Amino acid sequence: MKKLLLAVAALGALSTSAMAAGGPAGCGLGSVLFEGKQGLVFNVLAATFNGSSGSQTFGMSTGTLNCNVSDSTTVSKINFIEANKVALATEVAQGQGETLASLATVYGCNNLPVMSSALKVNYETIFGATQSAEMINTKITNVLAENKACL
Amino acid sequence: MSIILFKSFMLRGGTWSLLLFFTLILNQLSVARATTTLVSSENDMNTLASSKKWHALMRYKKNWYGKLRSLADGQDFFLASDGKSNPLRELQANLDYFANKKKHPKFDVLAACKFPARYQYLNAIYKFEQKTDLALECADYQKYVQALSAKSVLIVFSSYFVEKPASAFGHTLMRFSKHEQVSDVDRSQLLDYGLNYAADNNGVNPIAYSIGGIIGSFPGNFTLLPYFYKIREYNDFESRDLWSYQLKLTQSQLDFLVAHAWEMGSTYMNYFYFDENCSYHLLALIDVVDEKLNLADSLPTFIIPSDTVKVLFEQGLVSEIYYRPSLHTKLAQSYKSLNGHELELFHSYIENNYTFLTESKMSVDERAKILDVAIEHFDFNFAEGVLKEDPVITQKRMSILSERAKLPVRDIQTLEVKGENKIHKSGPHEGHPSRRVKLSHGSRESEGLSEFEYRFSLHEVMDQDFGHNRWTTIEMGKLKLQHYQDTTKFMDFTIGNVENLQPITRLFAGPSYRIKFGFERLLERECHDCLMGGFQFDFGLSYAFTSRFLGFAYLGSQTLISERFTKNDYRLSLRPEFGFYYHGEELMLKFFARSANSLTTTGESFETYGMEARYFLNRANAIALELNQLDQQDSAKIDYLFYF
Repeated sequence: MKKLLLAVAALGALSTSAMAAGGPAGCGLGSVLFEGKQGLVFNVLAATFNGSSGSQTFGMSTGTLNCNVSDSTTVSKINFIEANKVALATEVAQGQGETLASLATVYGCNNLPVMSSALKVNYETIFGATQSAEMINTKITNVLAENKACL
Repeated sequence: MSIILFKSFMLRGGTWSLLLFFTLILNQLSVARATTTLVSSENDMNTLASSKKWHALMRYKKNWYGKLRSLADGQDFFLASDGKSNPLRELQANLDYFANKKKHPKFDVLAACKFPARYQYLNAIYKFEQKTDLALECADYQKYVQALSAKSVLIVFSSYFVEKPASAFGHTLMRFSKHEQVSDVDRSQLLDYGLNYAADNNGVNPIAYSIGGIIGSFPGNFTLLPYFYKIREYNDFESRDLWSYQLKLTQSQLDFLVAHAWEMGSTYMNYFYFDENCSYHLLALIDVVDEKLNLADSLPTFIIPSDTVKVLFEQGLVSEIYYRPSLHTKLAQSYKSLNGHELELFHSYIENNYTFLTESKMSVDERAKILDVAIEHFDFNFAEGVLKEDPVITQKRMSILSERAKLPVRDIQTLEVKGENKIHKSGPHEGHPSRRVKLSHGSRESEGLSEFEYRFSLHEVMDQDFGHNRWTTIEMGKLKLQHYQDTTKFMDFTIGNVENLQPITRLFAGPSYRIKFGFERLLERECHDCLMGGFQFDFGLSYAFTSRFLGFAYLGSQTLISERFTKNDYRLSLRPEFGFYYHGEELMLKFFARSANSLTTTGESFETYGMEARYFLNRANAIALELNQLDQQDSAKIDYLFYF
């Protein structure tokens, strides 16, 4: 049964990755959302049958939440940025918001106002050209260090 | 039925005090206990194996032909080879593994680490001599407990896609918060964890998925993921409001729930869309913490997610409700905050491809405010492109935000900044019950008629809208019988009926549509009294004169299939329709006029005019008057509607 399940899972993963071709890879939001969620008929059926998401199985059985979301009590910075990129960019530009506040927690930064204004000033540096979560993380780290925002 | 339940409850009460008694005796005898054989009478063991708690932990449930089986389908969930159907043997095997600190037969971990809730429960009764320290000996499990650090648990209901009413059934998931008092002050909810139960439907086409969902051919899994994924998915990408219902559990109950969720995470259950769905399995998880609870099985066989929150309420389990607005809701709110001058600037900005006209004059604060609304507008309208990081869309988005970043921080208290908040609009727990019976009496062509109609689910525009979108209909499984001229006939079986009236506004300019399919008996002159399969699709526009008064116009089509049509076996017709709705708190009104113009048969057209007035006495009862003229046949009916 386990083998069958694995085979089904593998098949599923294969077809999902085929469908997700061109979309963001890894643990970004796009890869978590059910790809190909388009069209009215699909929506009627998928939503009705509770199939809205489940393309990534976060295996609780192994205890390692997929994408290394948690080896400790905190969420990894890159995963956080990857999934919250859109909201984060907005809030950095606006200089406030809950995603920014959560980012402070993830970075272990306890001076939210200083951090927010440092990031706001450097918006273009951080989000300027198309950026990967890794690059954004590096830039945020640099900006925070340069501005001594999290001391 | 209730007497039987009561009896069995009393019986269980009795067995429990007996069990407690045995436990006490066992404690006294602990010195004499050998490690491999537990001192425990067969009788005692039988009692425990048939206890409610053991059944709840192992998900034993009588199936449709009365045989006791566990709902868990993964073999690794059981320690006895016939554990799925034998609670006693499974209990004995668990005691053996736990008492002797054996490893799980398949995995390189102690059985106790795999099943920490069972271990804790049985250890409390049997006081194993060789203890397993879950905190020290179960590294993976401990990681999970640490990650959750659960101080409170909430059931999250994700409502409807505003744009896609087919999701009106909603979805439920569990959320573990690190705070006892879930508040919007610390703004840390993004870092909560969500526990989701869903069918593993990867890559299967929707048709196969639907069928598989009904017959249970997909494995359903519990998955754990940071709650921010769910917020981004539901709140932002899909624009669905989220309601969180905090449960009144003690810390020890909560810890037990966390331990039990871990056990369930290691198995799978065949997913049945109608009964063993996300709602059922979430409630079954909660049932484990307290024998007094009976959530999962108190629901009707077919469970709709919004019923989940209702049953939590009925059983007094909810302490707080939190509401998290969707992107659509936030946009509508912030749009409302624009004054006349700002409104014009905003519209010229978005119409000019999200750039300010050089001649536009405004203060720095106004500019910032307009950009803040504009970015919500942009995200809502280009949700897919934003998510998929389409280069053009990403670039545009970046340029809007770069401009915004140069402007000062605004002193705002928008929903966005506040994040989650105490509920401020009617939630799904307030919705009317989804099943409905309608009894009608009246006449057609001066002859008496009586009707019986049953609707399985869920909501129509003419129903009260608490917890639902006002201008949408989603109905599944509607059956109508009619007694007329001394015969009873089957009139209508609607499989699906979805309507989404999206009033055109300056901000949201989407089309309105209606899709209906099923079987119906035609009463028009052509093929009078023929039963046929039908599919109807209407596409049009609607306009809200006030928030409660709406007009609509459809350019519709209908395909009817019956071999009794004079020409062809089907009739394809164009069906333009227009009408009005008034949606009050208690009173609902509808007027409509429609013309069906056959394209494939004799080319005739058939006009229908109708009106309905429905008055709600309370959430569960309503009366209505319907007047119709269908292809020159007059009918009048008085209805009684009961929601349950």
